[in-house]
This record gives sequence, C-alpha cells and structure tokens, in this order.
Amino acid sequence: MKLLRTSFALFLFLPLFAIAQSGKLPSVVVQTLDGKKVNTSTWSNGGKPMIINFWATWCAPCKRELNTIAEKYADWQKQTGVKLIAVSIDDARSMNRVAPYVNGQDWDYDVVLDPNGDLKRALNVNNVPHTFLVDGKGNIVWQHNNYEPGDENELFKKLKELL
Amino acid sequence: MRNSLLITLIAGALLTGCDKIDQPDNFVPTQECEGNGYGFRRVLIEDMTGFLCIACPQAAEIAVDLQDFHCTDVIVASLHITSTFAEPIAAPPAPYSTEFRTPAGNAFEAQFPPGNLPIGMVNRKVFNGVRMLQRGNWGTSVQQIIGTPAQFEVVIDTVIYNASAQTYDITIQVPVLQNVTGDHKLAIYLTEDSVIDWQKDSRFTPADRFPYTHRHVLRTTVGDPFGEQVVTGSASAGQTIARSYSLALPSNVLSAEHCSLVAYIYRSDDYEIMQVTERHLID
Amino acid sequence: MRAACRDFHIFADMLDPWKRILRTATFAFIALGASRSFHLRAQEGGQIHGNFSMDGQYYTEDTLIGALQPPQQWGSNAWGNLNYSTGNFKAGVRFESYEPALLGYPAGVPYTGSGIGYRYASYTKDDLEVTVGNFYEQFGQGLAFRSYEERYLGVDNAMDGLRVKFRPDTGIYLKGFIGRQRLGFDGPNRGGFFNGSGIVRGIDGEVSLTEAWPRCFPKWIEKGHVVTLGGSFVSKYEGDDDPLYEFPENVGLYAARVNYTTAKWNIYTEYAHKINDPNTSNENIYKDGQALMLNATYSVKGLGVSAGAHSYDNMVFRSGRGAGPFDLNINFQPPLAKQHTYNLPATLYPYATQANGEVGYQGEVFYKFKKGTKLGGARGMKLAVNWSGAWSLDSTRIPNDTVRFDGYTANFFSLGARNYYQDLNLELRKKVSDHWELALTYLNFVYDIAQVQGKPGKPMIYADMFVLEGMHNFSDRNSVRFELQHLNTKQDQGNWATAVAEFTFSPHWFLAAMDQYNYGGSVTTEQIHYPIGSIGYIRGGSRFSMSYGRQRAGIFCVGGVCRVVPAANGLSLSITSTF
Repeated sequence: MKLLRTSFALFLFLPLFAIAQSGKLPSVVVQTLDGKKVNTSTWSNGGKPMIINFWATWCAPCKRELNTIAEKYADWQKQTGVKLIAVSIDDARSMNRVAPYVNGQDWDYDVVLDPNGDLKRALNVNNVPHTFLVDGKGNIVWQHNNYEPGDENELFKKLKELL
Repeated sequence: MRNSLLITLIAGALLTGCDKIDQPDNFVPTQECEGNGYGFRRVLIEDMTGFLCIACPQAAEIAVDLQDFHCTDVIVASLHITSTFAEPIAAPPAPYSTEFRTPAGNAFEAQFPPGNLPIGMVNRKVFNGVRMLQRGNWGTSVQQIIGTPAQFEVVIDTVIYNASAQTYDITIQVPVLQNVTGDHKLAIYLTEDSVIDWQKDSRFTPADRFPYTHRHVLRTTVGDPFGEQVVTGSASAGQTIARSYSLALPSNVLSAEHCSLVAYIYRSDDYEIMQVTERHLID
Repeated sequence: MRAACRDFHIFADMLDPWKRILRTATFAFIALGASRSFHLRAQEGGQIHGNFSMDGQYYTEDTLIGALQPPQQWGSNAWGNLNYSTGNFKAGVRFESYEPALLGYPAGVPYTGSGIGYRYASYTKDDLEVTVGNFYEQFGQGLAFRSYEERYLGVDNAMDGLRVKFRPDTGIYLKGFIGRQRLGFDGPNRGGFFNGSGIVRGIDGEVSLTEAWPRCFPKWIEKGHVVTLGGSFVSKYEGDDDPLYEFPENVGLYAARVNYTTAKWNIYTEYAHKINDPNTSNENIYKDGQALMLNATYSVKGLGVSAGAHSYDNMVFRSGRGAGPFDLNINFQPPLAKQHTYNLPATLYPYATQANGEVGYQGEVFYKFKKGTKLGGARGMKLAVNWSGAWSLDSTRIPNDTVRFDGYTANFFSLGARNYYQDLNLELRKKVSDHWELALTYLNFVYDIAQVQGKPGKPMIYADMFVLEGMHNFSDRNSVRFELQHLNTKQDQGNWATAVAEFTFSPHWFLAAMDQYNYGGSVTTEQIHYPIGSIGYIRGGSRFSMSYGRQRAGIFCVGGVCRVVPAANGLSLSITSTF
C-alpha cells in the first residue's frame, strides 16, 4: 500500500523530468492499405516534415479535419514538401471500410491501419483526432488534440516554422 | 536459439490443445440425498432474478440442480429485483402484473448492485475478486465452501403459530463452534416456494411461459433486512446465542404451507455468510 | 446547538464532492503544467512519455429522467500512463483511479479504488521482440484472439504473461503468447487490476507470399498485388471442479485467413473453428463453433465500394466459463453495422453482435461528384450510401438432448426467421459556398430491441431519421456548426428531436449547447427536454471540457461493444492530456 502511494507521488512529479514534446517515432508495426506491414520507426520524408494524424471512420471531427486539409494539401506540399500520414484506429468492425472511404473522399494522404491501437498507445493518444508534427530529423515537435475549424491554419504555421 | 524458442512455443501450444468430450458425464438428479449435517458449512445462493429477465430461468435451474446435488447443504432464496426486470408492466390480471419486489429486496439491490441479471451471490463471499457471480460460476463456488468446518451452527428451534396475535413466534439458537472474532449479525428470510406466475424465457417461442413455477421467492425479512448484531467483538466456542422473533405473514404471501424460514449469520465487515439453515414455516 | 451541528454537516456534505473535484483538477493541472513547461532530457537518451485522462461527474437527483445521486455524489474515472524507453528497452505502467467509478461503469466486473491497472517491460533485438507483463494483441481481425482496451467503454481484457514476436525472414511474422486475462480492478484489496483464473495460449503465423518468396510470384509483384496468408491456434485452460458438468479443461480454436490486395481491390476472408466449449453463454452445450467472414472492397479516386458478409455460430470464447458478456473475452466477433456519429442514431438503437449466432451483411458506396459536373456544382458533392442487416442463424433445437448435449443444429450462413437489425442510410455532403457546408442524412432502422437490448416483449422498432448539419465559418478562426436531428417512430419511447449548436474559436475554445426532446410517446410524462451545455479549452495535446445539464440514458458503443449509460443530471468534467 505504501509502495502504491509512493508510486502515485512519483507519478505526479515524473512529468517534471519528462520531455514534453520531443522524442522520436516509436517502433510499431502498422498495415498499409495495400496489404503491407510497415514499422513506424522507418517513416521518413527525405528530410522534409511529416504530419501524423490519428482518425477513424466513426469520428466526425477527424473527417472534418482531414477533408479540410485535403483541399489545401497540394498547396502545403508545394510550399513545404510535407507528407501527411493518416493513421486510422478503426478496429476489425470498420477497418474494411477505410480504403473505400479514403478513395471516396479523394484523399491523397498515406493511410495506415492501426486496428488494435498499438501506435495509438505508443504515442499516448487518448482520443481522436490527434495530430503530431514531425520535423525532417524525425523528432516530434508539436502536437494537437481535437479539431476545430481553423486549427489547420495553426498547424500550417507550425509547419512553416520548421523550414 | 531463436528457432528452438519458437518450436517450443508452437509445440507447447499444440500439445496443450483440446479436450474433446463426446458424451459428457453430466449430473443427473437422483432421489436419495443427504447433506453433511451439523457442524459443517452450508451455502445460501441468493439468486437475483426477475420475471422479465429472459435468461433467469436458466439460473434458477442451475440453483435447483445444485440443490439436488448437494441436498440440504444448498439453500436458495430468489430476490426479485430491479425496475428493468421485475417491475410489473401491466395492471392485474394481465400477464406480468404481479409485484414480486419487496422493500427487503430493494435494500439488497442498493447494497449489492447487481448490474445485469441473472446474477447471484454464494454466501455473499468474494471469489477471485468478484462477489456478484454469473450463474456459470455458482457450482464451483458452492463446491469451495460446502463441507468445510463451520464456526457457527444455526438452528431454528421452534416455530409456533400464535392464533390470537396471528403471528409466528420463532426461536433461534446459534451455537458457537469455534472461537471467532469480529462483529456478526443474524438475519432471517421468509421465502415462498412454488409460486405460479408468468416468466420470460429466451429458450421458448414466444418467450412467455405460463404457468411457470417461481421457486424460493423472498417475501420479507424477519426484522431488519440486514439483521441484528449477535456477536460484538468476539465469541468463544461452547457459547450459544439465542434469539426470539415474531412474524406476521405479509400480504404478498399466497400460501403459508409453501413458506420457509431461512436464518443465517454473517460477518458484518465483509457480509460473508458463515452458516445458514432453512425450515418450513409449517411442519 | 443540535440544529447548528446538523447545518454544519449538510454544509460539509455539500462541500465534499467539490473538494474532490478540486483535488482531482489540481492533480491534473500539476501534471499538465509540469509536462508543458519543463523540457528536461531524461538521462542517457531515454524518453519518458505518457498521457492522462479523467472523466468526472457530479450527480444530482432528477426523478423525471430517472437520474440517481449515488451516496458519494461524485464519480470519476482517471487513468495515467507512463512509458519509458531507451534503446531497445521499453517499460510502462498505468495508474487507474475509480473513486468511485462513474455510474454504469464498467459494464462487467466492477472497478473500485486506485492502483496499478497495467504494467509491462519489453525488449527488442533484431527481429525478436519479447514482452513480459501486460500486453494487447490481435490475430487477424480477431475471430481467434483479440486483447484490447476501450477505456471509455470499460472493456479491458489485457493479457498478463509473456509474448514473443519474431520475424525469421522478410515477409514472415510469428507471434506466440501465454498468460491470463485482466478481469477487474480492486484498489483497496489488491492494489489494482486482477486476472481471471483461466490461462490463454496462442500462436499465430503470417506470410506475405510476395514478400517472402518474390521469385515465385513475379507476375503479382509486377502488378503490385500482395497476398498474405495467416493461421492461428489459441487454446484456454480452466480447471473443472463444477459438480454438475463434466467440462473440457482445455478448449482450442484455430483460424485461417487470406488477404488479397491489388491497387483497386482488397479481398479478405477469415475462418475460425472452435471445439466443444460449454459455457454459460451457450447454455453449456458441447457443440463445436465456427465463424466465417468475407469482405471485398473496390476503390478508385472518387469512388469506393465495399461489401461484407459473415456468419457466426456458437463462437463466444472466454477464459472463464461463467464469465459475464463483457468479461474475459478471448476473441472478438466484429458486427457489420455502421458506427454512427450523430447522437440519436449512435446512442438509441446501436447494434452489437449477437454472441452465439447470427448472419450479417453490409454494403456501402462512397462517391464524389466532381467539381463542374451537373450534381457536383462548383465545389463537388459527396455521397455515402450504406446498408447493413443481421439475422438469426437458421438453427433447430435437438429434442431430448441428454447424451451429447449438442444443443442445436445449425445451417451455416443460412438466415433464420428473426431479423435482428437493418440500417439503411444515405448522406449527402456539399460545400455550398466558401463559408457554408451542408450535410443531409436520412436513416431507416429496423431494430429488434427485445433481442439486441435484452428487453423481451418489446415490439420491433421501425424508425426514420433525418439529420441536417450545417457549418459556417465566420472567419479563419471562428465558426459555428449546427445539427438538427429528428427520429420518428411509433414504438419504444416515440419521437425524438435534437438540436445542437457548437461555436468554435480556433485554436483554443469551444462552446456547445444541445437539447433533446422526447415526445409522442404513449405516456404524457415522457415528454421530456434534455438540455445540456458544454465549454472546452484545448492547448496542444491537452483538452479540458465541462458540461452541465441532463444526459439521456443511452447505449454507448465502441467497436460494436455496447454499455448502457444511465441517465444523469449534473456537472461533468473531462480532461485528457498527452505528454
């Protein structure tokens, strides 16, 4: 019991020493829509930044966010060379709907499946949507939970700061 | 090294594969039956049920099977509870119009929130972290208690009908068999067996059964639902606790001939029932 | 004097939940503030990351909607994860706190008190990964094995034991595990989570033919086709000391799967078979179980089509024979039903897989009308059509079944007499100007509430729903979104109307208000309004929100597993943070 209380106290203060928003991508295996397995630690964009966005087909704000960015994506890519990886946390119930949905929306993102939440847990995501910005060296430099219309401007601003 | 590890894993998994049973040797009720008797623990199954609960008849059947198997060592009380499963949905005399719920049952519902029905308690004991037991776990749990030496015995000594007062005068003796510590309470149920009414049952089409025999229905408690404290601090072996009570039949009882008294002593701090006994109201 | 004392006690009682709210909030703020303002590196390049989340509710009694006030008045669920990683080594722990748990949470065995809910250490060397302690894992799409966590639902069947993952060669993946499953949580007596008594063991192999043997399949590689084969074997052990039944102590299940992917097509199928597994859920029958799921999708830019079908027969697989429906599940039988996002269709009549047998179908089309076409207009228009349905499995009870106890015979993939559920829905979404987007949705439900929600005697529900959603941007940062939802039915609780308005001020604030109105039911007192208001603040990886008002009793589902949430009235508070 005493041990428990000590560990709770530790938990309170541990964040003091934690690195708030930096860190490398974890090593977790996810699936691509074309049936391959990919280790996330190998993700890179040739020295250019990456956006990692957690979403699901049953999450309305997620779809709003990705649909909004989709209209600006070509422009963002031209200006910054960014690549957006959309990580779907749809489980066995709806993971089969991801590919048709993505194509039906006409998205140009790299989409991967994380059906049992392995990457979601490794990046400590509580709920979707949740966005991470990764710099050219593979460091996570910024993150944002939730989506409100206009948040994409903030993301773009942070993205340009990386250049 | 790696390969051997994997081969071990695979072989291990395959070897510990399956137990195929073609003709299960399942229990078939027999006529002759005897319990362990004086000084050994008996079990009270509190079957939380309701006439709108489609799986509850299965739980009731398991309770009856356990009684057939363990004889007088298993005592059952059916607590009809929750507004979802026990609230009448029509006015009499339509089906499902009988109020089976009781103030005592409601008090237990508040004390031991059942979640979904059917569910039950076996001596209110916590087994592997769980007190509210699914029916499939009753058999194993009962097995763990029955026949072990008891700290108490509970004897319903006399039940005498007092015609002038229209009450039953009850005396109960609780011999202490081992030295015990901790507060204990004595509580008494009045149950009625063989109550004919409606019951939902998912195994039937349509799912309505009539006439369905409701067994061991809790009608009221004698005194407070949670009983009266009879051991404070500690009690020594050899001592006998005696109590007497008076019971007026409540209006929900249909037939006094079908009624039984269930008396039990339980530990106050964790509610575990240490000994229980049952006796017909009218011999 | 006496009166004064009593007054003081009332005051203290009132104060108490607020104190608790304050304490929890302070705790959260310290953790969050700390994580944001200090950027210290842990020694030797190790990293500490984690997250925190809390849902709390102050309950007030509201007899009109059946909302209760528990004796503690306040309920809260809180979780904190801490993960440490350095090089090839990872370790982590999750603290959980239920003081007490929110009403109706979790669905299965209760959670009480505070303590450790999960802990693990894992090590990766080349192509080998070893994990000890708790882990989550899934084989294929879960028909054989899935251990997962849906914390907002209260489902957590984390394994506790050992797992090995190994990649002997390119394109070949092997996994094996052994352990017990998390069952419940008891802080005061056990310091945290506790496991069920059954042991679960499993192995799984997956081969990507085109990756493993590229020279054998030159044509597929040239065309970009990927073919993956997989197979699993999972078995459980649970001792048998039941007096009434002769139970098998070891029960095995095997499964096989194929996935074929091309640029446009994806075809997936998985089959699983289980040997005799008498348990409470199947009424202790000794019949074998089997399950088959099929899914095909075709998609090109602007068009996506998918079709799915499954048949499940007696495939509940739990490491405790007597476990309740939410506890100790080893496998997962995914339902084929769209998970809706609008409040009314999502929480009134959601569908969950009927555990012991069903046949289900689903079809779906996504289409984008291009800009400049007749229907697409200047900005394009998106259409989504979805239909799904589930029926009982065609089965016949075996009479006088007292020798083999097989229970029933079933015709696999053949529809039974009972239609559990059908959902046809159609959504049109269009940006009508630079500042306005509109979406119109129609849904039609057929819902066997007696079966799906276990409310026998209630008639089949036929419901029509319309939802109009609009979004308007006032500026780059400020916007409003509204929803008007209407559900029309003669059964159950009658009609519902819902209005939602949500103002967002990017990037930090949002304000929302919702009212639900239940009318047209048979009883006049059932005409009830459920108003609720919310405010929220978001910064980086953290989100705070607070709501006040009435919450309708509903069914809360994640991934086809549903929990009943009782009606509540009062203040609720939610915090999530990632660091």
